[in-house]
Amino acid sequence: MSEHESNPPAQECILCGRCLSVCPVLLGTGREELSPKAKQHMLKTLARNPERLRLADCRVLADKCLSCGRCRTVCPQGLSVPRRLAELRAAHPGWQQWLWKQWIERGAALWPALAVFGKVAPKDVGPQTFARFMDSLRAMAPAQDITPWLAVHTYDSEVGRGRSILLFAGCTARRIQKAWHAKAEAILGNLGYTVLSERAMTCCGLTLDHAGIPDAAHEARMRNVNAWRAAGRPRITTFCASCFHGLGEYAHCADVNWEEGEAEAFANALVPLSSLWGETTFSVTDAAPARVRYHQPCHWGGSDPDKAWLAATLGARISAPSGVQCCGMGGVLQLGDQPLSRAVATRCWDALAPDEGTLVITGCSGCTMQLRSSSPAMGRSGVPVAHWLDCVRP
Amino acid sequence: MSLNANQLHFLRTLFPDGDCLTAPEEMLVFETDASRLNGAPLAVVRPQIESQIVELLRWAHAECIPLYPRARATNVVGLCVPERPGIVISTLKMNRIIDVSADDFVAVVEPGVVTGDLQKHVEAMGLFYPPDPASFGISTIGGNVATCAGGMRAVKYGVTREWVLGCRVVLPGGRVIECGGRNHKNVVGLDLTRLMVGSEGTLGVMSSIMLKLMPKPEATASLMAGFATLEEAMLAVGRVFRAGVLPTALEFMGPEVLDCLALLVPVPWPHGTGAGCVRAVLLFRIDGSGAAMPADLERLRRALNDTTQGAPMWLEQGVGSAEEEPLWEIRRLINPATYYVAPNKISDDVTVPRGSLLPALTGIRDIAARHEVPILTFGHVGDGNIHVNIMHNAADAEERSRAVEAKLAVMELILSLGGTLSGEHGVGLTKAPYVHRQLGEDERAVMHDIKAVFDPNGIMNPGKAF
Repeated sequence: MSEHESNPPAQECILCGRCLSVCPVLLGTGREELSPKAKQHMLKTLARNPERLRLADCRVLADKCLSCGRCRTVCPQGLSVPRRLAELRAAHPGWQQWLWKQWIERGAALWPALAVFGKVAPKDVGPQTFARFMDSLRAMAPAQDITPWLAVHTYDSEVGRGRSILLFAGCTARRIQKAWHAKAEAILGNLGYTVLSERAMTCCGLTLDHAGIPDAAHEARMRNVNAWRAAGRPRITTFCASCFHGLGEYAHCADVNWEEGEAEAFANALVPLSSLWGETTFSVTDAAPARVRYHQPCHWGGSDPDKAWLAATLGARISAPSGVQCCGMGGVLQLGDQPLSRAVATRCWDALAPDEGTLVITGCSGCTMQLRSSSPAMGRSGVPVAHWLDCVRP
Repeated sequence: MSLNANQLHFLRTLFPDGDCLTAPEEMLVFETDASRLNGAPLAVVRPQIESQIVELLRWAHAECIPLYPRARATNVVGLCVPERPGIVISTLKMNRIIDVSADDFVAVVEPGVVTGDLQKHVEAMGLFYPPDPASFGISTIGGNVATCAGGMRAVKYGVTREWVLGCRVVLPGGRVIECGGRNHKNVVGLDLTRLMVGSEGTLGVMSSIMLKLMPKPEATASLMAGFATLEEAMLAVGRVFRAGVLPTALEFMGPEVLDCLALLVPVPWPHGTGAGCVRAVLLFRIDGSGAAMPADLERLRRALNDTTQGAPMWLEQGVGSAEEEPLWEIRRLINPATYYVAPNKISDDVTVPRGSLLPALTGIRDIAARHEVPILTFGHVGDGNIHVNIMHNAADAEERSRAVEAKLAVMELILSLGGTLSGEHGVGLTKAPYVHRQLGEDERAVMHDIKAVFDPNGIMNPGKAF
């Protein structure tokens, strides 16, 4: 071991500012005090000189994070602001966290109740916030305005022959967008897979973790890992970037009772649905929109299999904005500071620059919901937004 | 010291809707920058239009309140730190590209535009803005102009100064002056634009900046070369220039830098200290026409491959940005990687005449041995610019004092070779105590007189620069 290696690397923010160029909150607002760097500096100051700051005010700033994880991907020190903030929230639980837990765990039954909470929320700014909140809820209704236009021409049924697979649908598809679940199941069946029941599985835990409810997140992780074990450790696939990210984190979680080599096996078993097509061919029908714009979910973390498949399949028909574009869905921000979440979404829509013939597609349940609820008026209705599954005719 | 009710009222009226911060929690990040030094902001304001800056400077001049302009605060010399209590001006909401003209070869931008964003924007139009400080993707034009940022392409294209045609500057008291303009040539009057570039926010606040553009070079290629020793690498630098090659960029990384990079990322060269291992790396970029590129690369390789002086033991080539980018990303990771060596650093970016590079680098190596502190050397050797990072643990008083002694010894060495204290980072707070070692009393008196013309009450970024 060299002299340098014997020193642990300095895991402290060095204020280099790399995170400012990828943080959707900073880019959407120009407010440096909301940047990941500022949050790191604040947490460090809280730890070393707590008398300088009021914890309650720090928490208000801390909650203005989308938990997109982009800052960690560029941080030379490998620091994750969402993780640090989750720890802060876990130590000081508050109403938003409770709300999220209810939302994720109880699902659809609670959404009307959430609307009521919108009225009494501490940072509520009146009817406008409430109206936007209702938009979000309405967006969760199944998509009705998308006629499938990407038809599977021939399936490569060799891909899954003789193999079993677990389809991890995620909270949104299980409870609201059931058509996604059914389509994904049909696709996997046509690819030759035996699709195993995911009934024993639950939320991936990502949202619970970021909201600062580590116990519930741990419980969710253990339930999912045990379900995977009970199914004979098969492949797992998902069509949601956030679920993929959440499940991908399991291998790095010290709280999962991994056996030797098992964490790696789990990580290897996890594959995005869009990477399973093999030699399957497609045809674009007459119902196809004139222009398709792709929204890249933050949670693909730089390598996006949906984008690669769509680009190869649709060619010049599809395009995507450059730079960092976040829909503004993530974390507790959506509940805690809707105007800020909206500001981020507005920047995202400016970059998507839709016209009357545009369909926006993405590959994350959360992004689909947020984009639908923030979609700008265009002609007689808003710009249509689809999960790519909405467009596929299996 | 704190602001009184009238002063707060003025600021909140001028900067409504969350653009005036006064809560300690919100102002916290504005007390510091990448130097990690701390100050004490009394308030933070975010102008969105020039008229707000005019009103602010009229008022602050009358009230004699220090002002500290700031964009992304990526500088490492404490330029943005409000050392004396004062008001921080964040330009992050002034981030519009106002105009890009493919006929005039001019871009007009607000100070908060990120340099990399502007570059992408103009390159899509077939135009080119060459200055590329290592921070180009995260730092702003305003910050780059205030520090006269350099960068890797400075060997061929020069530093930021060469690319600023003009700027609008708000002076303390509220006067707005227009320096330069859209003309690529202009010899009328004193060159106020050049005075503003590199003035480190000590004269006024720039509200817009006019930049010169050029046609985008058709093709680029990069070559990374690993050598057995520092001496062999420096001899190769001389050979390349003598062969008539003017690289766009020419970077150097010394043995200690290669070691700490290897701690952060997998490095492409054979790493270690044994035989066959690379101990010094040169990274070249050349640009020009696509047709000429293979011949130019071959000429560069021929100049490097001199077996009598020590040919490179490892070479990696990239043609076109996709292939080149991984090579340059390694170079950009040096600053973060340094903290794997020790938690604190004294960072200098000295320059020497190009011919004095080898004595400078070997002299610094001797200083490191003598003071028993790791000193990392890397940088833009193509223009004689060496980054010197003296790594230490500041919590250990004895180690800290050895690091400070080493810094002074490096400074003595560099000045004795006819060099300068800073090639591009600027002076800021960290180098201000040493400026008199390079600048004479008369020169500094003239600079103070000039500042007094712009800023008679000394409110602009006090305590910095000269």
